[in-house]
Amino acid sequence: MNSNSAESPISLRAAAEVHVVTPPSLLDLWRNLFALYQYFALFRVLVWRFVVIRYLQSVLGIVWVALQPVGTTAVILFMFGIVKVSPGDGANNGLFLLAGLVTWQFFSRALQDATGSLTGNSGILTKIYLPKLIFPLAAATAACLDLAVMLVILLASVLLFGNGVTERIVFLPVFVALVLLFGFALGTMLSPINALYRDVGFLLGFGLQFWMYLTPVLYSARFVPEQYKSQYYLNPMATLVEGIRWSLLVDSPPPAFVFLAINIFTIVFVLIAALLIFQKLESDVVDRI
Amino acid sequence: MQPAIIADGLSKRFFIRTGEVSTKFSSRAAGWLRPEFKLERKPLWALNDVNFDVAQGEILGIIGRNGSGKSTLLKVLSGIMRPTRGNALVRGRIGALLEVGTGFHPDMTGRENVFFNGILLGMSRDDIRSKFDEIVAFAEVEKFIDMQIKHFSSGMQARLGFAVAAHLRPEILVVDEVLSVGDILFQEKSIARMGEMRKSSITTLFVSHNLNSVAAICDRSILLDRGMVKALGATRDVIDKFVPPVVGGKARAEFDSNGSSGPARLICAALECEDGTPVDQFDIAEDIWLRVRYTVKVPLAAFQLSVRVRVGHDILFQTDDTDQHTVLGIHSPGLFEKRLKIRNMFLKEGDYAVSILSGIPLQLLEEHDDILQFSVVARSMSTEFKSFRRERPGKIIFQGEWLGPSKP
Repeated sequence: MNSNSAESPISLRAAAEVHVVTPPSLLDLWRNLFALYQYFALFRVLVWRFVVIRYLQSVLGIVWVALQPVGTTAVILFMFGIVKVSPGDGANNGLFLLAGLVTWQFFSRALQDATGSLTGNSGILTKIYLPKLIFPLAAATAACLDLAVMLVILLASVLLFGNGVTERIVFLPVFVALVLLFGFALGTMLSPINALYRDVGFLLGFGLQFWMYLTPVLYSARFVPEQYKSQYYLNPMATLVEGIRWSLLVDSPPPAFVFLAINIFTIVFVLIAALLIFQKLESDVVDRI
Repeated sequence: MQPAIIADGLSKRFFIRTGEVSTKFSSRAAGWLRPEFKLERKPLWALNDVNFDVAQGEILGIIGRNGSGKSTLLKVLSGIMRPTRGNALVRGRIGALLEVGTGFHPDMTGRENVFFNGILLGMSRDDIRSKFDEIVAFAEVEKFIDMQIKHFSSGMQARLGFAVAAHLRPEILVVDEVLSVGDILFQEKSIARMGEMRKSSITTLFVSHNLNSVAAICDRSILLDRGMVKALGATRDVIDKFVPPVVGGKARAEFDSNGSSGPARLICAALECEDGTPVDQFDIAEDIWLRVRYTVKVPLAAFQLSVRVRVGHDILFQTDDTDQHTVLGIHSPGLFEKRLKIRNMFLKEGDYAVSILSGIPLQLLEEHDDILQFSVVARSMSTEFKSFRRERPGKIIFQGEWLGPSKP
């Protein structure tokens, strides 16, 4: 018997013993969702890789994440300081802006990275079998590291410059999770379309800017005329940004909970649609990418 | 025992843009922005009703020309691509090696890349940790493993990729010509490794252009031709279907005048003995003469003929007519012929096929594969005790000379 360790078998990840290769079908969605669980080890490495690759070759690395919203806040405070127009309704305009910008940056990072996750990994998905859903999922999850860094800055600022936090902070993870879920769902919907038509990625960059102005990030929803409010809050991000402000800043008004319910329904609807679209297109993506 | 793989009517259709302009409005509109979008997308069956079984532990070779569907078949079986029609049953965990070093990132270190690649291929973190030193030693990159792999040579990267793959132990292995990485020493190491894996009776699908390695490794093979199974069976027979053995003789060939739009055209070719009579069987001690006739329609800076002689699966040589005179003169229009002499006592006994190619500088005009066939026999002498008798290795008669013995 050869004792060379090269002879000892390496166990592969547990997979179904009998695998049937069939033409693509929407019903595979269940199998693919289940496969995500089996590929958890790979998922972890992919998240790590998304993070590492982005900050490789930069001196400040992850610090850049924090600098972006802080810098934008500083610039806007400076601008509004000159023209003397108050953008927010809280006691502290800086915290108001920072909370909005952090939320928006987290959302757009998760959405954009998930959208580009198939094209960015075409070399892998055309050479190795994987449940393809793992790419937008890992990309959106990797955005959480950005959020963690930004939240540290935000909380420190709240404690330093604000009036402290209240027990409302327990709702913060709920709103964060909804933002992440929404970004992941939209990104999952767009990622296969982007792989087939790269135009999506360019449009998204433009669309996100436009969208930010439809969301109370740099201004208070107070300024939205009353007769448009019911349409205004159909945008889930409008409620979620206000929700995050409410859970962190003492002087922020609560979000409209009726709209929150509608928004959650919207997000779940988008998620289901996204999974179906993804499933429908994923085999085309491998063929044509 | 149940087969490890059963492919049942596997078919895969791609849509590719052809040379034809689409009549659809949407295509025309898109074509206004991007010209290539104007072209019609036509279906192309990369696999067309492919059926076969692979037994447990069997090594099956897959051969065929480029674009015959070999890689598509591997991708469909390993689940990367979905078939358009048909299905396949795969028993056991499949490990697909379609390239080495999948997912390597140039900015990450060798160590990080080994972990990522290993997990992509289905190893667990602990597996990789326990095999890590062995992998690195196999790839011979111990000193560099904590450097970013963009500083590795391409050979080192390929070695590292192969080393990870070589430590996989799937139940079914799918390999697409990954052996051809690294320098010659490393290739030998890789082939030895493949041999080890072979002994461990892993069911294997092996795609290669190298017919000799397919013949050496595979028990049975499939020949794919434009997505269809053209032959399936013992590797020898399948390879013979792919590259037909030279049988019988063909001393004369006329080239049809179809597609004669070129500036020059081959007319006919013939094998002759010295006195000009066409023959398809030559004695080993007899010169072989090849006569090629062609017309030139317009004055040409140069016109070149090339002759290729094949025995079995191997090209023995390919000549040009420009070896003796490297400066080519102006070739005026008209009817011409050229003769090529293949010296006696050069080709061993056997069956040979001749291909004829013509061209002008940088452009191939015509290529006629195996257009003439002949055999060389030993009539005038017995080769029974000669160094160049048929059964001995070697493809040509080597007329070298031994000197000595003398005291050094």
